[in-house]
Amino acid sequence: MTGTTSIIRRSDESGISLLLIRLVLGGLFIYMGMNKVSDPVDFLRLIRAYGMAPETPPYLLNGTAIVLPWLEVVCGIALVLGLWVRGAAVLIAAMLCVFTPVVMARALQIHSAEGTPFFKIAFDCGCGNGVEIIWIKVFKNTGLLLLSLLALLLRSRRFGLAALLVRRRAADIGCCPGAPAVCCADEHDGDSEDLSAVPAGTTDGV
Amino acid sequence: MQSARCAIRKERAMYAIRKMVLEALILAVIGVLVAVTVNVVRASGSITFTRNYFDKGLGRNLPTPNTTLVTSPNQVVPMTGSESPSGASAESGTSQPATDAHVEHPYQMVTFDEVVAIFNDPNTASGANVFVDARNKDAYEDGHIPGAIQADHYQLEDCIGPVLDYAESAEKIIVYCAGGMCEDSIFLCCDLVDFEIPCDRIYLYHGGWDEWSKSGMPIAKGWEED
Repeated sequence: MTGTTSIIRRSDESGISLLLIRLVLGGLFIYMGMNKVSDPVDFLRLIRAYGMAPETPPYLLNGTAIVLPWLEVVCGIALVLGLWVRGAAVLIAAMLCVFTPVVMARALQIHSAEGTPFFKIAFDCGCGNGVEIIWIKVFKNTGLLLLSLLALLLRSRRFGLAALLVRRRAADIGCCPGAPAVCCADEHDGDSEDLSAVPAGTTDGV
Repeated sequence: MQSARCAIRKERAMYAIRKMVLEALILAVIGVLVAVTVNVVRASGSITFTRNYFDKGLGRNLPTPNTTLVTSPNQVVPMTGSESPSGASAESGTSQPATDAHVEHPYQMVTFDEVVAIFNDPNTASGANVFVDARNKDAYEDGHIPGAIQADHYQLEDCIGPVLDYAESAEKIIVYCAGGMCEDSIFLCCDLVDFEIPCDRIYLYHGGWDEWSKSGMPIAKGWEED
């Protein structure tokens, strides 16, 4: 734990690593979300194929097809801008945690039903990129999940809109608004947020 | 001293989690608001929240499968041997029972050879038979059966008018979509029945575009204005 934390901290110091993660993850989610937004009905047909939501009444299925693509786009924009990064990262991680097993389960279902070799199974998973080979898709999604977890862990807020806003507000009122008093001491440079989420009782660095 | 630091860390962690949850909630609300707004204002492609797009109409206002809808052989134009392509399914000159491999439906089905025969029937050109392409506009423009009218089940209000004009006077309405697992042609058949087109004039071509385009048959591209 100590080693992992220190590696993350060291890579975090420059702020470049989080910037890259934000741009890659955010850019991909904007791209894939916009592909779905361009043809919501097609997306509706694709998510129906998973059979996870009831067709009658249709509200859950239709609502998912309407909202999900825009949720991806909004989270992607937030990441690229560097605003509400942790909120966006946790939403993206949650989406990936749902999508990936569902896609995997469908591939396994096809594998057992049709006897297609698993590594050759390809279909349009509704991910926004057309027909894809599924094991590669699952691999990519796992990578994206790791990136979103890293975005949760990294502390630097350099190169982000939030840093500008926090710095300005901190200059106005002398402290980060709404935060416990203990946070203020860490925000002297305005570039890092005190959001390390270190579990209570951890002795690292104490 | 250590317990005080632990308390501080705990407080900071709780603050971080609260902030993260709040941010996620704000983003989710923004996402929902944007999605609903765009869905309401967009000119085309919007989803009607309350519509069940996948109601196949069984038990709605249609006859029971395999009772009144099985086609008699003389309803289908006989095929000509020279038009039968190799590799196409050429089981018989009659329609299939009203089921297919993956889904039950009450519509009479036509094989590739029957479709070819109808396509080559001189009456087809005069409007006695009409082909309806149930795929979306992009797929239709990329290629379709010559003379087919495009009617997308999911954007029905935009395209059903011309189809009904043709369908009301046609003897046979052949509906197709992509083929394979595609069910859009079945949904469009349900729509036609909803618009009071008699069921016995509707034929489902299950092989669809996939079979037609791979069989060396004529295809048309772009939009057909007629």
